[in-house]
Order: sequence, then structure tokens, then C-alpha cells
Amino acid sequence: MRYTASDTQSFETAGDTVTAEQDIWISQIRKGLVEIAILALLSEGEMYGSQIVTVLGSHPELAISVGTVYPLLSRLKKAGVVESTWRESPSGPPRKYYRLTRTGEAELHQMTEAWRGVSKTIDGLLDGGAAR
Amino acid sequence: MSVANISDLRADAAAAIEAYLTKLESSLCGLSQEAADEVLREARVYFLETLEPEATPDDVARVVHDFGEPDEYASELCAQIRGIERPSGDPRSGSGQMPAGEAQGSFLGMPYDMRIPTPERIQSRWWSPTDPRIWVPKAFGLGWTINFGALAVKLHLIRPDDEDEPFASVPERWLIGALLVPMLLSVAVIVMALVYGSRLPAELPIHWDAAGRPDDFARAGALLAFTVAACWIPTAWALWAVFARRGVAARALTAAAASLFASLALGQYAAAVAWGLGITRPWHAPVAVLVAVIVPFAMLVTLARVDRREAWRADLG
Repeated sequence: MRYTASDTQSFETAGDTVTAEQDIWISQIRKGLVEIAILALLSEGEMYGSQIVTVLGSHPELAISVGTVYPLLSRLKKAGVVESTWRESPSGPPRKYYRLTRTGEAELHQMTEAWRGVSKTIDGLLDGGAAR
Repeated sequence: MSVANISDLRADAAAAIEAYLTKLESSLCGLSQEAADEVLREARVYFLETLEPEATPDDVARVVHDFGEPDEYASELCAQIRGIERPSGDPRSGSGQMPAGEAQGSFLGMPYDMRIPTPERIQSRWWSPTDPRIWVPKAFGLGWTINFGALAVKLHLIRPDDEDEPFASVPERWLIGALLVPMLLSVAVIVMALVYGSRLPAELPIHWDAAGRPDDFARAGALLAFTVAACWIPTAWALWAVFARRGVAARALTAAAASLFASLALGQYAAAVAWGLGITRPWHAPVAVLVAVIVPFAMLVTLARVDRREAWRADLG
């Protein structure tokens, strides 16, 4: 059987066939990818918290929620991967903007290399590369 | 080069890892044994793959820093995994019996934690704005409690990431002011007893039915003793947090917790005294409970907004 990227979504929605173990497996993959997703977003420029949640939330396949993003931002800040600063908002109170530090840029570079390598290998295996 | 077993590491590094895993395990509240085992196995593998055989406790601390502190990591995992676990396959919730010897877990689907509460654990349950769940497992006992931080976010009083460290920049005078709240409430009980005590009957109500009618009574002296204890023991705990030089967040949360208990005790005593003086209003008890919840909530939101104001001042001038 060959799998494609779109199978991920259908796999998830086929509630009667997905076991809890498979759910946990999918959840763990997503958990591992949230960090690279946030770092990739911030590499484009600084963003405030709810902006990150909104942009990532527009990708349902990542299933990223408020409860995932904010604790991770806090951990990344403690680790020196991102830094934040308050800026005045055109509407409402000031907002806390996040941006990558040099450490964060280096980490994103390493994660990108690793992700591309893993992704390419797995895609090859799913396309029948193991048999060739 | 990685190591195969924790026992292959230096004894002090191995002890640091075991301490981390123990803390992580104790923080995995409400997860099934199967999921908890998987989390611990992953953490163990991560340590083994990351550390060198000659790693020191400082190296372990560095890895812990990258991996996430146990409470924080467990909270994140619990929120993600709890939603997708099978209730029927959960040995903790399915057996209907509390697992013998376990200080925390879930019982008939309700989380419990029988460990002695610490200010830090109270803080992680009561004030966690980055966790969107308003109802979280109690820091002590069976059931759930309010995450005032999530409630404040829902009411748009703060944002989830307003504070990097809860209450870290709150000026000392505000913390002292917070501590004065439970102390004043506790003093109010004594003042009330001194002013009205001689005019009260021998027995006073200690419980009311749904219609607001008293349905259980106790001797006035016993009720006063209970009320004073319910006010002053948590207040003394909040004072201890100051003298023991606990963190700012722990001091804020113990003051809030003491305010909750003192408000509840004062509210109940005031309702009983009012009944004793012939003033009966069915709304006394529910209003007392509502006020008891609002007082600590208002205190925590105020401190968080003061903290945020200090951060704005630093960044925006």
C-alpha cells in the first residue's frame, strides 16, 4: 500500500479505525514539529503570540492549539532560542513580539537540515524505495 | 557517544536523572499507566542518547534545560495526551479503586493528589495563563480546581504570555498588600465575634439547604474556633512563604489561597451570625461563596496586571 500526504488527514478522520496508540503516534509527531513550525514562522520576522496561534491554526493538519503554542514559546524563551519585547499596538494594549535569537537561527538551520533528511528518506520508503 | 543504561553513568549524574524521572512521573497527573510509562521511557532514552558516560550533574542539568522542566513538560504532555486516551482502557480510571500506595492519579474519572501541597504546586494549578483549561486537577484532594489564569485570559483581562515568570516583577509593596487581605479578613472574624458574640444563641447554623434554610447546626464556640482556624492557618502559611523566602509567585499564590479560605470562613460565619441575630436571607450562603472566589481571582489578576505594567515600563519607557 502506498501512502500520500493527504492520507494523514483521512487517516485521522476515520475515527472507527484509528486506535489510541496511533492517535498518540500522530500527536507525538505533531508535538515534535510545533517547534520547527514556530521557528520557521519567526524566521520571516517578529510576531506576537496570538498572531502565531492564528497563522499556525490555519494549518489544520498541524492541529496546533493555544495550549501548545504559549507553553512552547515560554520554553523557547527560557532556552534563549527566541526573545521578546513589548511594542505599542495600534489597537488595544501593547503586544509582546517574539523574534529568533542567533541561537534560534542556528537551531532552525539544524532542524531544517534534519527534517529535510528525514522527510526525504521516509517519502522514499513510502513510495516503495525500500524494495528497490 | 551515548550510554546504554543509566547505571553506566557516574553515580551523581545517574541520581540527578532518577530524580528528574521521579519528578516527571509524579507530575503526570491523570495519565494512564501505559501513557505514563511511554513518556518515562522516552525521557530515559533521550537522556541516554544525549549524555556521555562521564557526564556530570551539570551536564544533566543542561539536558534537562533543553528537554524541559518536569512540571512544565508533564503539563504540556498531559494536556495533549489526556484528550486522546481511551477511558475504558485506562487502568487507573477503569478499576474504580484508588491504586494502593500512589499519591496521585485518577479515581472514577476524577483526578486526585494526596501529596502535601507546596506553594509552587498551588501556583501551577491556580495560575497557569498559558494553559487554556479553566478546570484543572486540584493541588490537594480529589477533583478539579479553577485555573484563575485561564479564566483571566478568557475574560480578556490578561494575555496568556503577558508574564514570562508569574508575578516576577511585582513590587514588594503590592505583595505586602496582598498578604494584608487574608490578615484583615481573619481579623474581621474576631471583631465580629467580639461585637455580636454575646447576642448569639448557643447553636448556630453551619450548613444551608438549596433553598437557603439552615439544615445543620453546631455550638457557637465550636463554629468560632473552626472559623478562626480556617482563617489563620492558611494566613500563617502565607506568612511562612514570606519568611521562608519562597519565590514571588509562591508568595502571591499563598496569599490568594489564604484569601480564599479566609473569605469562605468569614462568609460562612457572617451568614451564621446574621441568622443568630434574626436576619435570614436565602442569598447569604451563595453570595459568600461567590465573594470567596472573586477575592483571590481579583487579587491574582491585579498582581498580574501590575507585573505586566512593570514589563511595559521596562520596554516602552
